[in-house]
Amino acid sequence: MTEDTHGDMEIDTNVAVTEAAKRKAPEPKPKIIHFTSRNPPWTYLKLKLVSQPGSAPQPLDALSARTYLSSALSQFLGLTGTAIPIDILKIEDGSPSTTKYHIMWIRVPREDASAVVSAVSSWIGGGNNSASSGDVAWRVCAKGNFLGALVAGSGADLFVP
Amino acid sequence: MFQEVDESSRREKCFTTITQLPAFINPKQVPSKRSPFSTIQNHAFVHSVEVILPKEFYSQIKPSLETKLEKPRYARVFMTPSALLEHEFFNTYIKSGNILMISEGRSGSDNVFTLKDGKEIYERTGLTGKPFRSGGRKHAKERFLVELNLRLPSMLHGKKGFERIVWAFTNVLTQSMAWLFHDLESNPGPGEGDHVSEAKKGNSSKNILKVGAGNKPIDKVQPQLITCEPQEIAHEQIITPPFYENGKVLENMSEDDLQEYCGSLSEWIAMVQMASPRLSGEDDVDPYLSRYAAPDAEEGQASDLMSLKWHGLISSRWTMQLFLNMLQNTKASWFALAVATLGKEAVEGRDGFMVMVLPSGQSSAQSSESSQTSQVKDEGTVGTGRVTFCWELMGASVTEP
Repeated sequence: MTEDTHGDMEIDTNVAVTEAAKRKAPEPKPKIIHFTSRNPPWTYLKLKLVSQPGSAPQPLDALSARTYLSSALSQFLGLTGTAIPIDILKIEDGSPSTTKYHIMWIRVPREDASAVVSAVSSWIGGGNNSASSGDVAWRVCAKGNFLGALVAGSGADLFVP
Repeated sequence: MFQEVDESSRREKCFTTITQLPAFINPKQVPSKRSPFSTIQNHAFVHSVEVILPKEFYSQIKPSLETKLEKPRYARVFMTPSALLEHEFFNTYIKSGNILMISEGRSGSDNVFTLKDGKEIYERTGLTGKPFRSGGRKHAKERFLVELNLRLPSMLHGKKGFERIVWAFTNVLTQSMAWLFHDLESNPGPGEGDHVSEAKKGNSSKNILKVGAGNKPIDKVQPQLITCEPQEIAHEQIITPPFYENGKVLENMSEDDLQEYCGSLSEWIAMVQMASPRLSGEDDVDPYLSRYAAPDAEEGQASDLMSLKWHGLISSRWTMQLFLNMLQNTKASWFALAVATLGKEAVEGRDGFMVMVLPSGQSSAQSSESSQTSQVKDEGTVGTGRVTFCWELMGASVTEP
């Protein structure tokens, strides 16, 4: 149904503006501006840090998360990988039993998103000091170009009694 | 930097509409063909609804939300698809009633059944080449979307076409699964009234569960009746863009600037939903970790916000009531409504939508071009309309809750 109302109109504004200017009709129709974005500047990722079962749980803070990310990116893409600008939007570090454990929300330029996804999903890193912590890896929980589509989750938890 | 082809990214879209609401909206007859009302109605299966508004206005609207708005209620049941077609259930809910029902599973890989307006749609993976039962079927990315109109007069027990569905449900699709059920025509009867009163005694922040024991057909499948309680989340010292000037600013923006502005505004709403520390006025994160900035942050100021979140199977009708209620009670304040959908339709993956309504009395959008629209203004129909942004999102990939 959305398709009907929106069609494939990429730029509809011009039409609306000129229309209002041309006819000074007394028609009290409010002006509607309408456009479709397909190529927004950012891609958002929800990543989960998974550690080897049995290893001591370590709190996730922004700096260590960023270190893990840089390590993954440099391993996969070399020096250019570390140059990808990454914004950490939020770190959720609740108790290990909840879904909000070791979650990181980041935003990267849209063009770099697939490279980042490949880099983080192929990476396995050692902990900060290899004696106390085991290997860690990133799992991509959600990916999208519009943050609003990701924040509420999939709703699958509703089906679980 | 790395120009790789990203298929899933290319399917993502955001439809943005900026419009002005009519000055008067009859709650009994909403302009359902117009944005944002059309958007609200088009999203039938919703799992989360969130409202964000300044904290100082929350106390004003709270009583009205509590008294005038019924809490969304739904049931979770475990049953096989064939149970849908059993006489009593079928006759009560499908032939004459009006229900919303959706099964578990991820669209795209599992079988997902949804029931809406008596129409049943389901998808099934991996059946290419196998004989499969009839029905208006549509091939979509190696999946089948089968739509059956169970309300047709021919859909009766004993008829050939119908027996075919019965056969499929008893022989192929026999798995029992979790369903969410919402009866759109339910009036809180005496039995359900009990659930509600019991719900109030319970924990107010959690949704309430109760096993149903009434005599409706749904009660025979041991439903868990759930009442959604809104969750109140306070956001303190959030850098809020200066909305008041927007009406004026929008007029003079170029197409690109407008797109960028709308994008960052929707991002900001999502950041509030997420409760990101980057929005806090006290955040002093190193630019190495994040360079996020709220839109027009230098002109904005930190203020306390409040968000209310409902999580459950919610009908578009309820969302509409909430929206109208908010419109009525927040004339002097902005508010945002964010809705996320469940069971994305197989092909189009609709994720949800966001609506942002600016305070009324914001006729600056008009006054900047008053020479042209003075006539319109005199009629008084447009000048007081509230500027509204509406974003419809589709195509994102969420694999885990």
